[in-house]
Amino acid sequence: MSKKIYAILTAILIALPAHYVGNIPVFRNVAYSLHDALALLGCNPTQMYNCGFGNSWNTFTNYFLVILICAGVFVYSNSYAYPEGLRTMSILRFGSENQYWKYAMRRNLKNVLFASTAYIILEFAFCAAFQYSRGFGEIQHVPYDHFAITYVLFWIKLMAVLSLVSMVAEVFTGRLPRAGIIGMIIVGIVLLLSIDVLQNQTALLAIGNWQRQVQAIVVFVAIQIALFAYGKVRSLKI
Amino acid sequence: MIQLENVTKTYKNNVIFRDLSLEIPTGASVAVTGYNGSGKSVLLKLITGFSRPDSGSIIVDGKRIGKDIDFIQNAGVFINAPQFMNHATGYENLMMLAEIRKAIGKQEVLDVLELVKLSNAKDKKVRTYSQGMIQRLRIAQAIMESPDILIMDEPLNALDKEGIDIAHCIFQEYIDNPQKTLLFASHNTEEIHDFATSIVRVGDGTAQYIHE
Repeated sequence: MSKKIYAILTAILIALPAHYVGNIPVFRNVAYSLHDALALLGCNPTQMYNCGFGNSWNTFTNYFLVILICAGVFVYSNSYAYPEGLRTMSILRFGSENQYWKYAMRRNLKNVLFASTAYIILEFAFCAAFQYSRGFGEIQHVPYDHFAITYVLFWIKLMAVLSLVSMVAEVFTGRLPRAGIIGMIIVGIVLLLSIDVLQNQTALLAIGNWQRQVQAIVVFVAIQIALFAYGKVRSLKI
Repeated sequence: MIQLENVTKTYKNNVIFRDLSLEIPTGASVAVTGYNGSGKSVLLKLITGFSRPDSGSIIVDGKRIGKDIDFIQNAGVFINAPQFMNHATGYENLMMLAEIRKAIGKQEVLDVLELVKLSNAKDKKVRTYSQGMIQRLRIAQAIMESPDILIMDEPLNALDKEGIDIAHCIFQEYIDNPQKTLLFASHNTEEIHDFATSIVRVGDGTAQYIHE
């Protein structure tokens, strides 16, 4: 996915009302099938009720999932995750695996920065446009509160989860087929978004308060460090 | 000069090389032969740095692999059929590799595609390439930065008559140039006689020059 297509797609998604995007059955079912299963497991009738009827929080969560998928596809498709043979030829040209990792990470981080920043800027731009056209207090598509810190942390959280996507792509390329890696990323995102057993926006990717976002950033960065360490000890294939 | 000194390499309790010492002088054109599973590819991997010996040392142009350098330098390599990005074009694949060292630019990449007669297919995605075209692309990536050492595993596999003629021209430059070294593994007797000035036979835990 090119930067241009990503920006256009994101702009369309943001411009559409959240309930329109979020109520698409596929996304609702994907996001909440695991959530429902957990609710059933815990025999929590309130939670089951909430899951099935798409209250406003659910709608925004599904909307957020769509945005994440879009950004995830952009980051993954532009990652440096070469097929194993080509990667080996690259490493030979870099001269060392360390140089390869530095180059790959720098390139991937640029894409992550673009994906998350473009989203935030577009979000603000559309927010301003809606404010102007509909008046204050009428904004329905921005799922966060109005504190600047929440937006800043959300931006960092988005970067953390997207760089996690590119790290998964780098580490598992050559070990798993492409479809397997994409499947793993989608399941991971859905899990991170939907494990919310208290029905209180406690999932790491859910829309939460600033403390929740700080926790999520720490967890995502820690997972990446572990994955990086694993990736560095992987044996080269040629 | 490529030097292997007392190299021992085992794989799953199977001794591939035991106390192997071998020298390949600069300017040589050496064919590596041997039966299937004898260790031809392992020898090439050891020399490139993609496989490390259990003991002994490998020195290329005075630099010890694994100590002074991680991998062989100034070498064009393909061993065990490198894959390409199937969703990218042949040109894009080569550019991605060329951008790493920045030793060559777009024009040189286009020139090498012309050399291997892939100019007409340069903008087609690699997934549409035949096996022969992919083999030409492999040769192109190995030679495009004009390396001093060319290391290849079965370079003429899947090539048609035209492809073999192209490879002949390219390899002849290496054979004729006393500063360049050509090292390739092959089963093909004709290929060996056409390109090699020396032959190394691999087997029974060792590798040694044979004279025919």
